[in-house]
Amino acid sequence: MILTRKATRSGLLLLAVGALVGLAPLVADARAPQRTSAISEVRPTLEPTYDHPEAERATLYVGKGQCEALVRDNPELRVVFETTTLNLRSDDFVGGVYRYDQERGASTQVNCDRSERCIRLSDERYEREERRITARIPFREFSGLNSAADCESEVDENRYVQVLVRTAAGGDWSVAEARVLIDLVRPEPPELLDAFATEYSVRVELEPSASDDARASFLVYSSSPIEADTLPTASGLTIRPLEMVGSDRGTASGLSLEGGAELYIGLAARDHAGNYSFVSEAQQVRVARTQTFWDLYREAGGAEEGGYGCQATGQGGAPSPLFFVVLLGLVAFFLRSAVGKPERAPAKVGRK
Amino acid sequence: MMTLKTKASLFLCFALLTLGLSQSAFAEQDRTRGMMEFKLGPYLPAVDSEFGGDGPYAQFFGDRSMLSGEFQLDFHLWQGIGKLSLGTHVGYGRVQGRLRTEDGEVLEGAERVSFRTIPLRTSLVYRFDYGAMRYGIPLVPVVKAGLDYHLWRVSTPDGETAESGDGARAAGGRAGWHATAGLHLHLNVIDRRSAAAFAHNWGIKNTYFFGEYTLSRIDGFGSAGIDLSDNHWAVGLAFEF
Repeated sequence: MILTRKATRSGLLLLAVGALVGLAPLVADARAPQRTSAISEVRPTLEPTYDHPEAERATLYVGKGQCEALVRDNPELRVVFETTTLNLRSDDFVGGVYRYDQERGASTQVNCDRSERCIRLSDERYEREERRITARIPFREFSGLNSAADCESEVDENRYVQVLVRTAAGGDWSVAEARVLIDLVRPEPPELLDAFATEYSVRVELEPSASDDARASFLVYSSSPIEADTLPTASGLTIRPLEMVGSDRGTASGLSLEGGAELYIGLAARDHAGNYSFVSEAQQVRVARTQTFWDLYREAGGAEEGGYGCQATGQGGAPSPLFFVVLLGLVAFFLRSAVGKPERAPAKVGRK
Repeated sequence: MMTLKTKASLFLCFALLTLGLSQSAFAEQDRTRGMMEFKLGPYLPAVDSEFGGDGPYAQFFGDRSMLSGEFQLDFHLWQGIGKLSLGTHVGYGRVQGRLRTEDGEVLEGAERVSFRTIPLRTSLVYRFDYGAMRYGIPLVPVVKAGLDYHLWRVSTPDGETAESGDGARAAGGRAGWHATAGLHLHLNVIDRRSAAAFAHNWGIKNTYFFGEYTLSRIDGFGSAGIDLSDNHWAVGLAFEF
């Protein structure tokens, strides 16, 4: 059969569209957990909580701050998959629950129906209800971290729990996933280029952190020199978030610094798993003394000293008694007015 | 021995108390009870008058005046040819300037110093609305005069009250007086149907748009200290109930 040009073009177009539609449930953000419309909600949790950064998009973060406690306590990772349409008790619709890991930055989509890297969870690791599947995996088994020494390793990977579902018996499997991002690598700190401090704020110019997972920058300061490889949470250091203007300027405000004091100022970054970098090389900065309008007024010889009173003001003086007498009189007047005139008794109407 | 100021203050206090307790005697024939006013206008306190002109206010804030808003509530004392009322006002104004170093360099960025005032006033108000009520003439002249007490405060970028090196705190109050003349435009004549609905639903019998000019002397009656006086205009809306 000879295909016409028009038929060929139409056919190829239909094929491309069909491929895209068919792949749609599996195509997602390369680093984000995969989703399917058959599963309405995916919730990974660790009970009790370990001060994780807030979970988002079916992702839980584990950083160095939580690692030792998690390895020590070995809590259960619980992943709940919920649906409003399927009967998850039926094997017609559920193909199994799996886990697998992937290095951070990998973009390959994994479908455990076909991939050999997946490990199928045994039946005792998950419960099936009509509208819910709950997987429970001890943290050490899930993460591969078994001791405090493992928390000092350079692990930076994504680990997934995946469920295979389909909407019709015999149909294709689609997947829903939860992700646990285990990041035990500290980010690089930003480089401090310049700093200017007043009693109320510090403004910095910086070179951003070289780490692609750095999410926030912080100002770190101390009255003593800051040694290399010091964490910003160390004793004697004060850490404040930087409000960034662009990528290379930031301000930490709401401070209470002493004008004229010498400070040592550095920067730190924090990544999406809550890991702080070490403090950058610090600079010594003198806090500039500043002037307010009040300082200018007093230096110019202004007679006002503050305080409350009807005539000459005194420092910290209380309002004069006359002020209260007038105020009470006004209150009496306006209360009287607001209450209104008194009601008159209705006139009696007698019978004729 | 009592000074003239003390005698005047005591008299005013007595008058207020008397009026407050016997207000109903004046109100029996009233068809309206009082007035609410909302107004806005610039306010540039005469802080630099203490220094002969170019002083710390101009140096720090430049020629920026405060945008001052004020609410006034009056109750009618007498209604005949016009209305005589006693009013109380409360307002708010603020101006901000950037922090500067000791060398006078203005610091760019978000750090600002605020200078705030809260004017408290009481006024005798006379409205000549006889023409508006009787003959539909939409213009109503108004005059006011009374006593003021203005609260003021200078705050640092962290929201705290500023303090000078000698420990003087930048917060206090200053007393004074004011006199105002204004012209109100009676809006009921423009849309009588809406005015009737307003009266029926909200009890607002008359609505005005107005402009007024105020002379205020807030200098502690000539005593030493910060001068918050200003001659300023304002515009606003008034609702008679």
